[in-house]
Amino acid sequence: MKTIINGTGLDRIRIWHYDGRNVRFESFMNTAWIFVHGTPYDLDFLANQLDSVPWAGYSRERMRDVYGYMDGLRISIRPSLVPEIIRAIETIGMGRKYSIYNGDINPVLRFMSEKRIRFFDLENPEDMDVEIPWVSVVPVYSPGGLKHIVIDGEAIKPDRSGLEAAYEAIRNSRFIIYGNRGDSFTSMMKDLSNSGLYIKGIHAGKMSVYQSYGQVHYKSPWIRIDGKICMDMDSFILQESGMEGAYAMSRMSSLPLESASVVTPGTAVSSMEVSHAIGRGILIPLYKDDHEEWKSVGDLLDRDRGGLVLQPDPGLYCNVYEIDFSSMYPSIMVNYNLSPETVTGSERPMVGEFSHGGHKGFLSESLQHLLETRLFYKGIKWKNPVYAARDTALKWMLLTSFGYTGYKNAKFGKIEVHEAITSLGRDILACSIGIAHRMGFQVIHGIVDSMWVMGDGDVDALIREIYHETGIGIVLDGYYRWIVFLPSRSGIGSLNRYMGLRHDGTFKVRGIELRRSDMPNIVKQFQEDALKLFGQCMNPADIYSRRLDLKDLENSYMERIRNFSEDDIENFRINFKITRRREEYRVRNIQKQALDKFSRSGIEVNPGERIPVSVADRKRGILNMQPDQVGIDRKFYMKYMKRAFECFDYLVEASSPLCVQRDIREYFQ
Amino acid sequence: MGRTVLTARQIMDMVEKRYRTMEKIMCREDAEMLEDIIRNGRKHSPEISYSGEEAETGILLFSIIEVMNRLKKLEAENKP
Repeated sequence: MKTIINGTGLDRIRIWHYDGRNVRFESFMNTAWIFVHGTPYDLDFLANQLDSVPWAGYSRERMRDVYGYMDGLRISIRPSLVPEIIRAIETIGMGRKYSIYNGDINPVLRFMSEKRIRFFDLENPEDMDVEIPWVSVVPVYSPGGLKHIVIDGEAIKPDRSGLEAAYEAIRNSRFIIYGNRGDSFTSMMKDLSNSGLYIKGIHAGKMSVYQSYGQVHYKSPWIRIDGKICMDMDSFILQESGMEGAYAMSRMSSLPLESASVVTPGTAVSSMEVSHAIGRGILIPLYKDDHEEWKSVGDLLDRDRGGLVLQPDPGLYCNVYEIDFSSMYPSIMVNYNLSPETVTGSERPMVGEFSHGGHKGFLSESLQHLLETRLFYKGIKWKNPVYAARDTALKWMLLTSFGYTGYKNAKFGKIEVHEAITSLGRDILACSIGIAHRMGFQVIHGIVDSMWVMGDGDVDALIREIYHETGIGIVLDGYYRWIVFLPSRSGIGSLNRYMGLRHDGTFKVRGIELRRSDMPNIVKQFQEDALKLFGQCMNPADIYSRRLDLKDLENSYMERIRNFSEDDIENFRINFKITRRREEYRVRNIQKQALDKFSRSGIEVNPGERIPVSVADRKRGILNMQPDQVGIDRKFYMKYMKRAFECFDYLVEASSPLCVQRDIREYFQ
Repeated sequence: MGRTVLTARQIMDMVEKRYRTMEKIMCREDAEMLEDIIRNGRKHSPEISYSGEEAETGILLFSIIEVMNRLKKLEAENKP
């Protein structure tokens, strides 16, 4: 069976078919059209101008965008000339007289959507993806130059034969996974070229640094080689869900695999909406001009709010159920029919006014397939890691589908939809809390789309009732023997720091050092050992009985730091994330000191990148960055370790028979 | 998360900062009470946020509720 694995081109689209052994190409002439709307007078004027353009044909048509029908000119043109004609129309209309539609669509996506064909199409959603023979090439540089090249997991010395091996691997494979951290792949290609091993048709992008959810991320420059599919092993989607996730994203978004691996999930979901619009004959605006509706300050204060997050009382709780809404925000969009054309002003449906069928708005309709597919894979992900990877990729798309409704440049975004979703989300969680109380449960904590409840009621009945009243799917995500919600520094409950032992013997931990990427291994090892220590504890009495074992464990780790052995150095390395440029650091913290050191070695480190260092002397700013440099600042690591002890000390304290945790006041007395 | 408007927790931070300036000239016992009131406000910030009520009003309301709860508890304990 042939599978479409890629598409390239502009005026001629080249479709890549893969039959399991070979890639075959099929070329098609490609055409494009744009739609221009304006006043009848302005349209007549534009038509007159177009009469003198031999390479563009036009017809007067009535077409629709998400809001309704409009009259305009449909201009047919070669795809490569679209930017040129848009520039001309904008000049004629002085940038304000005409609204242009379908002007900036990815040509391959447009071709695939118009022909109603898909990348990596599956006859049955449970089918496996086609197996593509990838070769991975990851050059590793050190301050002295190319250190080694990892080809398919095997490290090769960068001598002449090593370079030739890399050259052959790239030249002979059509599918390449590359690592380009710190421009390493680009530099290696230059080294190859300097050695007379020239690979033609290489294109490279630029590195970028961006912020997402308060985190700084570094994106290494993309690489393209003509006639090959190249994917960055550090790309978000490969890191999160592997190749299967990238195939799923390409399949769902109609973006070619290379593009799907480079773009963010937000762009992928936006592409999916564009593809859906093309299929439905709905016009896609070039520039969005449906600005935020007028509202009073009172309205703004009322509507501009996020999800509902409860404040847990710190303490230990037993027999707790965690129930989660499945893809809550996308489900709200689909089931409550929230779309730019269905939400106006402050009008929005109330909790319970959902419909699982009937006529849907554009956004609800375009997300429905994505949501259903994701929920399908979520249900069967235990069967096969491939389904789990597809579930992860689609989950990311769904997550960003909500965020994109509030993004000013999103083609089908509208801030009122965003506000309606969060408003309904708050009301649905509040309604669920009410149901839980009614059915005899105590609600311990709730974060936007999940709740922790305890009590003797029937949890299955609770889930059924919540689904019945809200129309949003909800599942039991965990049943805990015990769960401890940790206090914050101020003493009140921390929203996102907890550890719980499920009845199946597994732990769920959030917010503690174990989960942090900037903690040394030794700290994580302690917390893993501590969790093992409490893994058999069935109740608070069991936990309390292990308090001396915990002390022994803590002492043994402190002892390990005191008697540091050079072989242990890797466990003391901390992966610090660089969040700004060297000159932008105001204080001389470890990151700044490390950057200074790298800078002296002539290595540039970009914001968003991580640097592994061990601290030899914090006060004097002596850091070890090379594997052969050993020696640690014991005081510094002991401080780190003591912080890691705190959550387990609190667990034991909360399990004490003398401790009554339900009331926050007593905790403070 | 709000786009333009501060979240209830951010507003609570601002209110707390304002209240804390009083602490400097308060007697110790009163300052402890103020701490208690601020903590109550933080504890109940989800309810205040959900209702859209002003932070200061919410803090006062929940302080009264907490006092009434303590009173109820004391009454129950002292019942013959």
